[in-house]
Amino acid sequence: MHELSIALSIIEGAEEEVQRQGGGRVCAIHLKLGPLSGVVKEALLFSYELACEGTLLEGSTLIIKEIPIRIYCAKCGGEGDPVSLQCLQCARCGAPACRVVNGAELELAALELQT
Amino acid sequence: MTQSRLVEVRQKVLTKNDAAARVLRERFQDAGVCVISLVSSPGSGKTAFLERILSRLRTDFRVAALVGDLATDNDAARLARSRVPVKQICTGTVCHLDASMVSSALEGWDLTELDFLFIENVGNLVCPSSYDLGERARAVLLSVVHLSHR
Repeated sequence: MHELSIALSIIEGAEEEVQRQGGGRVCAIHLKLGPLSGVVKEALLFSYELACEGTLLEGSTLIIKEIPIRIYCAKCGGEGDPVSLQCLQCARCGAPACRVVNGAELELAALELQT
Repeated sequence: MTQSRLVEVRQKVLTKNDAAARVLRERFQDAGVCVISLVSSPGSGKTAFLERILSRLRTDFRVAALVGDLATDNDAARLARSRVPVKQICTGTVCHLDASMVSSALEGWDLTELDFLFIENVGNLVCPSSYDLGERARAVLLSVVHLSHR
Protein backbone atom coordinates (compact mmCIF):
# COMPACT_ATOMS: atom_id res chain seq x y z
CA MET A 1 0.00 0.00 0.00
CA HIS A 2 2.10 2.90 -1.27
CA GLU A 3 -0.83 4.95 -2.50
CA LEU A 4 -0.35 7.57 0.21
CA SER A 5 3.17 8.37 -1.01
CA ILE A 6 1.83 8.37 -4.59
CA ALA A 7 -0.92 10.81 -3.53
CA LEU A 8 1.71 13.07 -1.95
CA SER A 9 3.72 13.02 -5.19
CA ILE A 10 0.61 13.95 -7.19
CA ILE A 11 -0.07 16.87 -4.86
CA GLU A 12 3.55 18.02 -5.02
CA GLY A 13 3.48 17.94 -8.83
CA ALA A 14 0.16 19.79 -8.92
CA GLU A 15 1.32 22.48 -6.49
CA GLU A 16 4.36 23.13 -8.65
CA GLU A 17 2.15 23.47 -11.71
CA VAL A 18 -0.14 25.92 -9.89
CA GLN A 19 2.89 28.07 -9.08
CA ARG A 20 3.99 27.96 -12.72
CA GLN A 21 0.48 29.10 -13.67
CA GLY A 22 0.70 32.02 -11.26
CA GLY A 23 -1.56 30.66 -8.51
CA GLY A 24 -5.22 29.74 -8.22
CA ARG A 25 -7.41 27.12 -6.62
CA VAL A 26 -7.38 23.57 -7.92
CA CYS A 27 -10.89 22.10 -8.16
CA ALA A 28 -9.91 18.86 -9.85
CA ILE A 29 -6.98 16.76 -10.92
CA HIS A 30 -7.11 14.42 -13.88
CA LEU A 31 -4.95 11.35 -13.57
CA LYS A 32 -4.28 8.54 -16.03
CA LEU A 33 -3.91 5.18 -14.37
CA GLY A 34 -3.03 1.83 -15.91
CA PRO A 35 -3.47 -1.54 -14.18
CA LEU A 36 0.26 -2.26 -14.55
CA SER A 37 1.22 0.81 -12.51
CA GLY A 38 0.84 -1.18 -9.30
CA VAL A 39 -1.48 1.49 -7.89
CA VAL A 40 -4.98 0.63 -6.69
CA LYS A 41 -7.61 3.19 -7.67
CA GLU A 42 -9.75 2.89 -4.52
CA ALA A 43 -6.74 3.11 -2.20
CA LEU A 44 -5.46 6.13 -4.10
CA LEU A 45 -8.82 7.93 -3.87
CA PHE A 46 -8.89 7.24 -0.14
CA SER A 47 -5.32 8.47 0.38
CA TYR A 48 -5.81 11.50 -1.82
CA GLU A 49 -8.40 13.10 0.43
CA LEU A 50 -6.17 12.65 3.47
CA ALA A 51 -3.06 13.87 1.69
CA CYS A 52 -4.79 17.04 0.44
CA GLU A 53 -5.56 18.33 3.92
CA GLY A 54 -3.79 21.60 4.61
CA THR A 55 -2.46 21.93 1.05
CA LEU A 56 -3.44 24.06 -1.94
CA LEU A 57 -5.48 21.13 -3.13
CA GLU A 58 -7.72 20.72 -0.10
CA GLY A 59 -11.28 20.08 -1.28
CA SER A 60 -10.26 19.16 -4.81
CA THR A 61 -11.50 16.08 -6.64
CA LEU A 62 -9.27 13.39 -8.06
CA ILE A 63 -10.66 12.19 -11.38
CA ILE A 64 -9.06 8.94 -12.48
CA LYS A 65 -9.16 7.76 -16.06
CA GLU A 66 -8.38 4.08 -16.24
CA ILE A 67 -6.24 3.08 -19.21
CA PRO A 68 -6.65 -0.51 -20.42
CA ILE A 69 -3.63 -2.67 -21.23
CA ARG A 70 -2.63 -2.78 -24.90
CA ILE A 71 0.23 -4.86 -26.20
CA TYR A 72 2.23 -5.02 -29.41
CA CYS A 73 2.28 -8.43 -31.06
CA ALA A 74 5.02 -9.03 -33.62
CA LYS A 75 3.26 -12.08 -35.02
CA CYS A 76 0.06 -10.15 -35.79
CA GLY A 77 2.12 -7.07 -36.65
CA GLY A 78 0.00 -4.70 -34.60
CA GLU A 79 -1.47 -3.64 -31.31
CA GLY A 80 -4.04 -5.71 -29.50
CA ASP A 81 -5.47 -6.82 -26.18
CA PRO A 82 -3.67 -9.28 -23.92
CA VAL A 83 -5.34 -12.46 -22.66
CA SER A 84 -5.49 -11.00 -19.15
CA LEU A 85 -3.59 -8.85 -16.68
CA GLN A 86 -1.65 -11.90 -15.51
CA CYS A 87 -1.16 -13.35 -18.99
CA LEU A 88 0.45 -10.86 -21.36
CA GLN A 89 -0.06 -12.93 -24.48
CA CYS A 90 -1.83 -11.77 -27.63
CA ALA A 91 -5.55 -12.50 -27.31
CA ARG A 92 -5.74 -13.14 -31.08
CA CYS A 93 -2.86 -15.56 -31.70
CA GLY A 94 -1.49 -16.42 -28.25
CA ALA A 95 2.06 -15.20 -28.94
CA PRO A 96 3.84 -13.54 -26.00
CA ALA A 97 3.60 -9.75 -26.08
CA CYS A 98 6.70 -8.01 -27.47
CA ARG A 99 6.01 -4.93 -25.45
CA VAL A 100 3.33 -3.21 -23.46
CA VAL A 101 2.02 -0.17 -25.32
CA ASN A 102 -0.41 1.11 -22.68
CA GLY A 103 -1.35 0.14 -19.18
CA ALA A 104 1.57 1.23 -17.02
CA GLU A 105 0.45 4.88 -16.84
CA LEU A 106 0.64 6.85 -13.64
CA GLU A 107 0.41 10.30 -15.07
CA LEU A 108 -0.82 13.68 -13.97
CA ALA A 109 -2.76 14.61 -17.12
CA ALA A 110 -4.36 17.96 -16.26
CA LEU A 111 -5.55 20.35 -13.55
CA GLU A 112 -8.81 22.27 -13.35
CA LEU A 113 -7.78 25.62 -12.04
CA GLN A 114 -9.99 28.44 -10.72
CA THR A 115 -8.49 31.89 -10.99
CA MET B 1 -16.68 35.82 -10.90
CA THR B 2 -14.34 32.88 -10.72
CA GLN B 3 -13.60 30.90 -13.83
CA SER B 4 -12.34 27.42 -14.10
CA ARG B 5 -9.86 26.38 -16.76
CA LEU B 6 -8.17 23.15 -17.68
CA VAL B 7 -4.38 23.14 -17.56
CA GLU B 8 -2.67 20.23 -19.29
CA VAL B 9 0.27 18.86 -17.32
CA ARG B 10 1.11 15.43 -18.78
CA GLN B 11 3.71 14.58 -16.22
CA LYS B 12 4.57 11.20 -14.77
CA VAL B 13 3.72 11.16 -11.08
CA LEU B 14 7.07 9.61 -10.19
CA THR B 15 9.02 12.10 -12.24
CA LYS B 16 10.99 13.31 -9.19
CA ASN B 17 12.11 9.80 -8.37
CA ASP B 18 13.01 9.18 -12.01
CA ALA B 19 15.16 12.33 -11.98
CA ALA B 20 16.89 11.35 -8.73
CA ALA B 21 17.50 7.87 -10.18
CA ARG B 22 19.08 9.37 -13.30
CA VAL B 23 21.51 11.35 -11.12
CA LEU B 24 22.39 8.18 -9.22
CA ARG B 25 22.87 6.18 -12.42
CA GLU B 26 25.33 8.79 -13.69
CA ARG B 27 27.19 8.77 -10.38
CA PHE B 28 27.46 4.98 -10.49
CA GLN B 29 28.71 5.05 -14.07
CA ASP B 30 31.27 7.75 -13.36
CA ALA B 31 32.55 5.84 -10.34
CA GLY B 32 32.70 2.60 -12.33
CA VAL B 33 30.58 0.64 -9.88
CA CYS B 34 28.09 -1.98 -11.06
CA VAL B 35 24.88 -1.67 -9.06
CA ILE B 36 22.42 -4.52 -8.81
CA SER B 37 19.17 -4.39 -6.88
CA LEU B 38 17.32 -7.38 -5.50
CA VAL B 39 13.57 -7.65 -5.14
CA SER B 40 11.34 -10.49 -3.97
CA SER B 41 8.37 -11.33 -1.80
CA PRO B 42 9.15 -11.46 1.92
CA GLY B 43 11.08 -14.55 2.94
CA SER B 44 12.19 -15.61 -0.54
CA GLY B 45 15.87 -15.49 0.37
CA LYS B 46 17.27 -12.10 -0.65
CA THR B 47 19.46 -11.85 2.43
CA ALA B 48 20.57 -15.48 2.23
CA PHE B 49 21.48 -14.97 -1.43
CA LEU B 50 23.41 -11.81 -0.60
CA GLU B 51 25.29 -13.50 2.24
CA ARG B 52 26.60 -16.09 -0.22
CA ILE B 53 27.31 -13.75 -3.08
CA LEU B 54 29.09 -11.15 -0.92
CA SER B 55 31.32 -13.80 0.65
CA ARG B 56 32.20 -15.23 -2.75
CA LEU B 57 32.82 -11.94 -4.52
CA ARG B 58 34.81 -10.28 -1.77
CA THR B 59 37.88 -12.38 -2.47
CA ASP B 60 38.26 -10.89 -5.97
CA PHE B 61 36.21 -7.70 -5.97
CA ARG B 62 35.42 -4.71 -3.80
CA VAL B 63 31.76 -5.17 -2.84
CA ALA B 64 29.25 -3.47 -0.57
CA ALA B 65 25.53 -3.64 0.16
CA LEU B 66 22.61 -1.43 1.14
CA VAL B 67 19.70 -3.24 2.73
CA GLY B 68 16.18 -1.90 3.02
CA ASP B 69 13.81 -2.94 5.75
CA LEU B 70 10.77 -1.45 7.44
CA ALA B 71 12.03 -1.44 10.99
CA THR B 72 14.97 -3.61 12.02
CA ASP B 73 18.66 -3.81 11.18
CA ASN B 74 18.70 -7.61 11.46
CA ASP B 75 19.59 -8.01 7.78
CA ALA B 76 22.52 -5.61 7.99
CA ALA B 77 23.79 -7.42 11.08
CA ARG B 78 23.58 -10.72 9.20
CA LEU B 79 25.35 -9.34 6.15
CA ALA B 80 28.06 -7.60 8.19
CA ARG B 81 29.33 -11.10 8.98
CA SER B 82 30.32 -11.31 5.30
CA ARG B 83 32.92 -8.65 6.26
CA VAL B 84 32.02 -6.14 3.57
CA PRO B 85 30.66 -2.60 4.07
CA VAL B 86 26.91 -2.82 4.75
CA LYS B 87 24.43 -0.09 5.54
CA GLN B 88 20.82 -0.47 6.63
CA ILE B 89 18.07 1.76 5.27
CA CYS B 90 15.08 1.74 7.63
CA THR B 91 12.07 2.88 5.67
CA GLY B 92 9.76 3.21 8.68
CA THR B 93 6.26 2.75 7.32
CA VAL B 94 7.23 2.92 3.65
CA CYS B 95 7.03 -0.38 1.78
CA HIS B 96 9.75 0.26 -0.82
CA LEU B 97 13.06 2.04 -1.36
CA ASP B 98 13.21 5.16 -3.52
CA ALA B 99 16.13 6.90 -5.19
CA SER B 100 16.45 9.61 -2.53
CA MET B 101 16.76 7.02 0.26
CA VAL B 102 19.57 5.32 -1.66
CA SER B 103 21.24 8.63 -2.25
CA SER B 104 21.20 9.57 1.48
CA ALA B 105 22.40 6.13 2.49
CA LEU B 106 25.42 6.50 0.21
CA GLU B 107 26.67 9.60 2.03
CA GLY B 108 30.16 9.02 3.33
CA TRP B 109 30.87 6.18 0.91
CA ASP B 110 33.47 6.58 -1.82
CA LEU B 111 31.88 4.80 -4.78
CA THR B 112 35.14 4.75 -6.74
CA GLU B 113 36.41 2.25 -4.18
CA LEU B 114 33.74 -0.28 -5.16
CA ASP B 115 33.32 -2.73 -8.03
CA PHE B 116 29.87 -4.00 -7.07
CA LEU B 117 27.11 -2.51 -4.94
CA PHE B 118 24.05 -4.58 -4.09
CA ILE B 119 20.80 -2.97 -2.99
CA GLU B 120 18.36 -5.24 -1.20
CA ASN B 121 14.86 -3.80 -1.44
CA VAL B 122 12.08 -4.23 1.13
CA GLY B 123 10.46 -7.66 0.78
CA ASN B 124 7.56 -6.77 -1.49
CA LEU B 125 6.87 -7.39 -5.17
CA VAL B 126 4.35 -4.60 -5.68
CA CYS B 127 5.67 -1.13 -4.85
CA PRO B 128 9.42 -1.62 -5.47
CA SER B 129 8.66 -2.27 -9.14
CA SER B 130 7.54 1.36 -9.59
CA TYR B 131 10.70 3.00 -8.23
CA ASP B 132 13.88 3.28 -10.26
CA LEU B 133 16.94 3.28 -7.98
CA GLY B 134 19.52 4.01 -10.66
CA GLU B 135 20.67 0.39 -10.69
CA ARG B 136 22.24 -1.26 -13.75
CA ALA B 137 20.17 -4.43 -13.31
CA ARG B 138 17.32 -5.58 -11.12
CA ALA B 139 17.20 -9.20 -10.06
CA VAL B 140 13.96 -10.82 -8.92
CA LEU B 141 14.20 -13.78 -6.58
CA LEU B 142 11.38 -16.29 -6.68
CA SER B 143 10.83 -18.97 -4.10
CA VAL B 144 9.71 -22.17 -5.79
CA VAL B 145 8.03 -23.30 -2.58
CA HIS B 146 5.83 -20.23 -2.79
CA LEU B 147 5.28 -20.57 -6.52
CA SER B 148 3.56 -23.94 -6.40
CA HIS B 149 0.26 -22.38 -5.40
CA ARG B 150 0.58 -18.97 -7.06
